[in-house]
Amino acid sequence: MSAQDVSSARPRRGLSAFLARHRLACHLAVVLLLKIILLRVLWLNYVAPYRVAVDEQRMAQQLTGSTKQPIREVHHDRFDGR
Amino acid sequence: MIDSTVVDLSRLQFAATAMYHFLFVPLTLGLSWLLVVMETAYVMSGKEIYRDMTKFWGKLYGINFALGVTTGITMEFQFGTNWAYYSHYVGDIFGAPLAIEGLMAFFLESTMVGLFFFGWQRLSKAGHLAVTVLMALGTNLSAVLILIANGWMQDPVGSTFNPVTMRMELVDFAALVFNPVAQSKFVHTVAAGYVTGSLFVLGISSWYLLKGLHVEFARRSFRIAAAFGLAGCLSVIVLGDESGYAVSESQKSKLAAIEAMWETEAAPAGFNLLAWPNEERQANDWEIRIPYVLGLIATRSVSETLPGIKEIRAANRQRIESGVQAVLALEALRQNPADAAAKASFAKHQQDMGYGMLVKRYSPDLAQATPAMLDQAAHDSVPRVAPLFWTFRLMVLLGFAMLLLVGLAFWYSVKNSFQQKTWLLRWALWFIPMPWIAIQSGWFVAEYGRQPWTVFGMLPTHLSASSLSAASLWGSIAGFVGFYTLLLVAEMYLMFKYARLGPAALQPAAAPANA
Ligand code: HEM
Repeated sequence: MSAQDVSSARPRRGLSAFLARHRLACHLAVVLLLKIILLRVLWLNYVAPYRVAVDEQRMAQQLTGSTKQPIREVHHDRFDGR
Repeated sequence: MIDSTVVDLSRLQFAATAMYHFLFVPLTLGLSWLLVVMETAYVMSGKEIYRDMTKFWGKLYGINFALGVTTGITMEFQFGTNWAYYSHYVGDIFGAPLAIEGLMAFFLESTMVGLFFFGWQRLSKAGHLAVTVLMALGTNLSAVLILIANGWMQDPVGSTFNPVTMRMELVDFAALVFNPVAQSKFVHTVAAGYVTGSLFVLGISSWYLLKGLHVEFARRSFRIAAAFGLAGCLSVIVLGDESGYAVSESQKSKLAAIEAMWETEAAPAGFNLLAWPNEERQANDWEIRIPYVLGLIATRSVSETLPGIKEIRAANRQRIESGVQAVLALEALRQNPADAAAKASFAKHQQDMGYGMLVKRYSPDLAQATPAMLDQAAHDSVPRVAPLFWTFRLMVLLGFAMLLLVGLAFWYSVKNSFQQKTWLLRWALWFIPMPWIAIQSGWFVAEYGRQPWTVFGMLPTHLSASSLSAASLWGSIAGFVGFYTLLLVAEMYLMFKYARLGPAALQPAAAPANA
């Protein structure tokens, strides 16, 4: 028996044994992690900066249109907190 | 001032994504029950051919389901991104059925889809059939909940406005769920889905028969699709009539526009079979009328009058005046909640508040609104006639043409001679796209016909859109249209590929994923 044969026959231990036993679960975990990271990056870059803050004050302004603060529909009312 | 370009682009984006999404949904709705019929035949007869049919049409269902989900998810986000004011104003009500749909119906459906594809070897025959039934139920439950949300936008029942939170609040959940408008929309829409599924199976089976391919498989599929399609077409027409009745109760402006009915006439009103509506003259240049029919269909009575567009605009003009008072009173109340005069005025005019808001398109400060602005807002309160008139007639015409097709297909199935009727098989093949055209027309009628409102009588569309920039909207529209077109091409490619392969697609070599 060669040295290589001996090492491959020896039961694996620790992390590698765990990974070998739960291959599917590990793949799924990695895919899930990548997905979460990708979605987070997309969210931070393309969604969060465009968030429109609407509360009852702004809603009142939109619907009743206070004479003191006419609504101007440009970039000013972006919420830029991330 | 409100930027109408932003509002129009937001509408365009929503319409485009919704129309793409609804290319996939009706086929999922229709195929799901067809799969149940086929698999039931398998379980009852034990004939392998029915199992193959379930698997083959199930594969096409799966492709379609995946793309339907992909295009649907983005729409839910659009309420927040593009319609932030709408979401704030009515989110507590509108969000409820959407959340239930996501958590209950969609999860049920997607879990069952997984079991449907991967459970053939692992479940008993009856167990697998139960999965298929649950999958179809999940699909239809999704539809009911989405249509409850849409039905509420058409007829906002069971809710009230809270001036403190500046939101609409739900006061009667049962009224929301059992809203007659939502129910009639649900049955009409799912029946449209059944027609779509049937014509899809009928058309592809006809192609096999014309080519002499998979003959036994195609014959059985044709028969099932003809019977299911006949039931679907009859339902869609009867339930379309029911939808028309619901519209006549809740949205007289939509009905008058669909029928190009400018003047109120003595009951029962005549039906314009064809006409050439002229928006400027507020009259039809010419018309072919059938006396009494509209009144009878739309009101189910001989004595109830239907108001014409001019009368509706005049009545809305008064509501707009009253609504302006409501908005001004609300503004005063927000400055000073103890203002008794404002409270009384608000209580008196509150039910017309939405109509007052229509004027904000022309004057941000309603105290400065001129009579000409009020006239213009009253004019806007009825949607443009010609687009509705024609799309509605297209939908109805296609409905009857499809009824004739499936009626004949069913008749010749019973007589067992459809294989020889090559004209019928060709007709069925060419009619595959028709349900989609009818469905897109139907949604156009429903949504364009609701304008100028997002929530009928409560919230005008121009006050609902987020304050985005036109540039970012153009960017996202281009992105959506580009991406969705790719998805559509992918769907068409896969559909054509598997339809060409036929039941051979079930062999592992043709489909390694066994999905
Ligand atoms: C032949 C008689 C038909 C009649 C009388 C009819 C009637 C109607 C009416 C009145 C609406 C608007 C409902 C609303 O605004 O709330 C509508 C919408 C719609 N129709 Fe039809 N329709 C017919 C045929 C069809 C056919 C053949 C299809 C498709 C296969 C179809 C699919 C739709 C869809 C998807 C909608 C939008 C959802 C809804 O509002 O229910 N209709 N139809």
